[in-house]
Amino acid sequence: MPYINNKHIQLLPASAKKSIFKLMAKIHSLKISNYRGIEKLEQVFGITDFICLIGRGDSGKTTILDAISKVLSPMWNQTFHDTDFYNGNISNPIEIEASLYDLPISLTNENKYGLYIRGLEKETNIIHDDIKDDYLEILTIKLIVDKNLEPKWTIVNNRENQEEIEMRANDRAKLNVFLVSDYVDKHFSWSKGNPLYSLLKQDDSISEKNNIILDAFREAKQEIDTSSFNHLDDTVKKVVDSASKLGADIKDNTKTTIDFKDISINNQRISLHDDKIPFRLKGKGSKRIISMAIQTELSKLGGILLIDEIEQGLEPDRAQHLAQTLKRENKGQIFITTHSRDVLVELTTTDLFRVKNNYSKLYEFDSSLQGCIRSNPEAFFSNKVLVCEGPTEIGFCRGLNNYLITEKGINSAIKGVRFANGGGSTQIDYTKAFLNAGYKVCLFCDSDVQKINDEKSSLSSLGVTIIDSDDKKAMENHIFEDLPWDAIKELIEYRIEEKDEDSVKASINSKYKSELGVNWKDIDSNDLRDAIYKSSIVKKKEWFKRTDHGEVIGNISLKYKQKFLDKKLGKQIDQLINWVEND
Amino acid sequence: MIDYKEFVSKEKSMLIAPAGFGKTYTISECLIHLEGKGKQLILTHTHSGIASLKEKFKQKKIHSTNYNIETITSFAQKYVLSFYTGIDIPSQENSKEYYPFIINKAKEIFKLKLVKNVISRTYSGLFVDEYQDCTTQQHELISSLADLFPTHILGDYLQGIFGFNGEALVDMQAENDMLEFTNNQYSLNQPQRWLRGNNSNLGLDLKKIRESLIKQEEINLSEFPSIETFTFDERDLYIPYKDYYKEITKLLKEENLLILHPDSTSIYPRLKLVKQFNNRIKLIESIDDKDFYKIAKTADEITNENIVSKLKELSYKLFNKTELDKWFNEKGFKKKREEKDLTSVRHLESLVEELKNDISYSKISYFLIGVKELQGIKSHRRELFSSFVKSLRDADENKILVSEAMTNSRNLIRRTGRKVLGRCIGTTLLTKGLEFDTVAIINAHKFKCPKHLYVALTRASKRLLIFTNNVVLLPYK
Repeated sequence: MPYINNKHIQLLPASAKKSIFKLMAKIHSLKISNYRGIEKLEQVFGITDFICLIGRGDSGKTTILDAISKVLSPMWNQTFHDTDFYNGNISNPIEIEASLYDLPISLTNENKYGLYIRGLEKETNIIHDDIKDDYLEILTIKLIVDKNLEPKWTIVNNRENQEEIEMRANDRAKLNVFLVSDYVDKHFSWSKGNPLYSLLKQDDSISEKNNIILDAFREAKQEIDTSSFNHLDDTVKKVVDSASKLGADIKDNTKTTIDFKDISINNQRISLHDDKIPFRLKGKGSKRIISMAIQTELSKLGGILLIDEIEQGLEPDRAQHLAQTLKRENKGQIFITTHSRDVLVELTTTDLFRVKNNYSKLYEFDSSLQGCIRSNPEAFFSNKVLVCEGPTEIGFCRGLNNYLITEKGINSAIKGVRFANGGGSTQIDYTKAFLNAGYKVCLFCDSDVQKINDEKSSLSSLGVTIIDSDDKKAMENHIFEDLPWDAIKELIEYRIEEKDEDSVKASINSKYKSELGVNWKDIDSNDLRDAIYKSSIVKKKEWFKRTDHGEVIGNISLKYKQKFLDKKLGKQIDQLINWVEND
Repeated sequence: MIDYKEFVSKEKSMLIAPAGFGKTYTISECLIHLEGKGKQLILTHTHSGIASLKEKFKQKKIHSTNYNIETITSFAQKYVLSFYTGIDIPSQENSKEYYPFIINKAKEIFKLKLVKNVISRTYSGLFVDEYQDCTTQQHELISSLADLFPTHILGDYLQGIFGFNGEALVDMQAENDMLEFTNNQYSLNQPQRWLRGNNSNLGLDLKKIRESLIKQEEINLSEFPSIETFTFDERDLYIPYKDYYKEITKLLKEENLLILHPDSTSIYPRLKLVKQFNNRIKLIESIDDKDFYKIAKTADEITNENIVSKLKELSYKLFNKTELDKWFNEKGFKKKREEKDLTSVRHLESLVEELKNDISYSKISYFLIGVKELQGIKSHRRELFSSFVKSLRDADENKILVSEAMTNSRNLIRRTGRKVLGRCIGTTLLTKGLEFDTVAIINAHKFKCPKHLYVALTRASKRLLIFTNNVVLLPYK
């Protein structure tokens, strides 16, 4: 942060003054204990403006966003239930701690929380209580809820001689934190603490004292006051008469109008309408988009925006566009969760944090996976990644999956398995990066490249399951060596269907020792198998090397599964099934 | 009158303000000039100083959002307790080590960029009052704050007598220490307090004496008709038929009187006078006087076994020995004949019996009050007595040590300041910053320091009497 002196601020023009005071906090790190499904979590996000949480359902992504919205809540109170405690155990308090940087000046002067600042050592991302000169300013906000269910917000640090201090709701409101979730209806109302109200406050001409919403409402009330509620008159008359009999004369001024009391406290009723229909009755997707539009406006000025399942209710292209726009135009900090491949491809590895049940930290992704995000976004949403040598292997695994569905009633999705294209030379890097990001990884590959073979034993010792070909061989070798002849005949037919019989036969013949006869497909021989193999890998004329072709190999192979159990390919199939099912 | 606008427009400026020349007024005028230009930090030394400034700001309707006023120590303490991570802070009771420690650490903390940010974000300017009372350490601390915003210091080097803990004080006249402040020096010239108080002659005389003191000239009191000067022999003060004694006795009719004794080092000459004038003068005690802590410690040492001897020890610490001897003997109380005395003694004896079985600080306080009510018994140190009784009860109620209760009560006085009413006796160090209608300086020829004499002279707002053995004063050695 630049060194800004109060005196300098006084001298600035109004517009610049505004932008300095609008400096908005961002989250550097987060600690959660005993909150819902999270027993303990400590995560450093670092200096970053865009964070995307991914992970399987129920891994705790929403809980993390909720925790942030609670610890930085602008409301003076928040309701907690026994069920909000981890395992329902209320004897361990819920504790949520957020450390913030880029703090608004109005929060860091001496009268507020300036005496509580801590220092961030940027090189190591460590927050220190013993401040040194080149550190970045940090404030740590802590929310504690004990068994009395009374939330308590404080500013904390670990300095021996300093007591914690309570943080007021008004001050938390200056952080402009908003959560877009299923319950966005209140985002369309002008109540204090809602995004529309914050947006209104950004306008300099409107001060808090000069509450234009309330003024508008007063005008409306005058209108209502002057209109008559004729249809109610009879009932009112009965009351007036009865009161007069009992000795209270209320005749002259009794009329029906609206009670101002409820409205003055809470502007919740004043909200956006589409003509006469309140926005809250609109469709889920539109509601979320409008809500995010309001907040995108806010995020241009800073603030922390939390969006749970950004793609919810949106078509893939709209979700993608939204992610793009938010990432590009955001001036504050945005946390999203997503299950959408379309959203994921817009992001970089450093944006991603993977949430996993019962892990006290989020997993981060190595930048070597950047290409993989674009080519295999699905893999990032799984628990187990099957890194495949190339498209043939991916297709083969799909065929295997078809088999599992029909024969065993299970599938890879249920087992949390995704296939990722290792892209040949990058497969080792991908395997390592997925492993480091906390996935279970299996590498399904050939053994015809020495450089890759050299890496296998170390990967295996790190816990990667390796399913590979025999030494110096590739998938294609085993297909034509191991499959029964009937299966190979089906493969030839598939190729013929793709091209035509003459050219396929000619290609094989060119690799064969003599001339092929008319019934050449009926006689199984090692020489013929070898010729077909050689024909299938001719450069630019490969039979397979495409996912769809690979899937056909998989389908055919699995059909004849029982007939080559003792062969290498049969064993590979067993290993793959075993890994998908159990590992 | 100075040009306030000009004074506050300087990045660093210094105002020399003699006692009673309208310094408090000047600060409030400066604040009015700076209204709307950010919060000003105002630092001073004592809580009574804070109280009088706040009072003036209130009169002038200066809203408290425009300033924050604190003692230098509490401001430094706030930052040290916030940012210091060590665990070696001395205990606050150990004031000799605690306060210098705080100032030293604060000096380091105020050099940190993040902390500077916090301070300069909060304040737009700094005023330091009573600058002459700054130790050299405090001066260094203020100097680093002065880099953050315009800083204006106010004080009077001729009143720099605060010698707290015997630490060196800043020399406001030393250009090398004061640097830029010296270049923007202003001064107040009108003895406002006396001009307003219908006693302008005294004000003008004090102004002349001030000039002489600065020049180290001799002061011939006969040249100042507004001051009532008496030349008496020192010893006459203790001889009832001598004029010295008689004049002082006459003064005891004054409603608000301060007798100033030149000896700051020992309490006994003042105690002797309290006895001499039969408790009609009240002794102003030093907040840090060790006797307060010693007597509290004695109370903490009481056990069921030593209770009798400890009660006697406490009594002899609090009351006049000759009279106590008439009531106590080796074993306990002497036998008394008169019914009234018998009742009192029986009451005290039964309290002692109860205390033997069950030590209770409250009961000890009842015992001491009982002793005080015995015929002829007096306490020459009324404040010591009342503080001790209060601490005993506090210790009983809150289940703490008597020494803790005493420390709390002395700290409370330190923080809130105290009003000194009626007729009392004190020294310049004890009455600095205070104002009395009538002031009598006794043995004025014994002042050996122009600063102390100046402080003594300027305590009087209406009537000033000087008792000396020589009408010419030479307070320079």
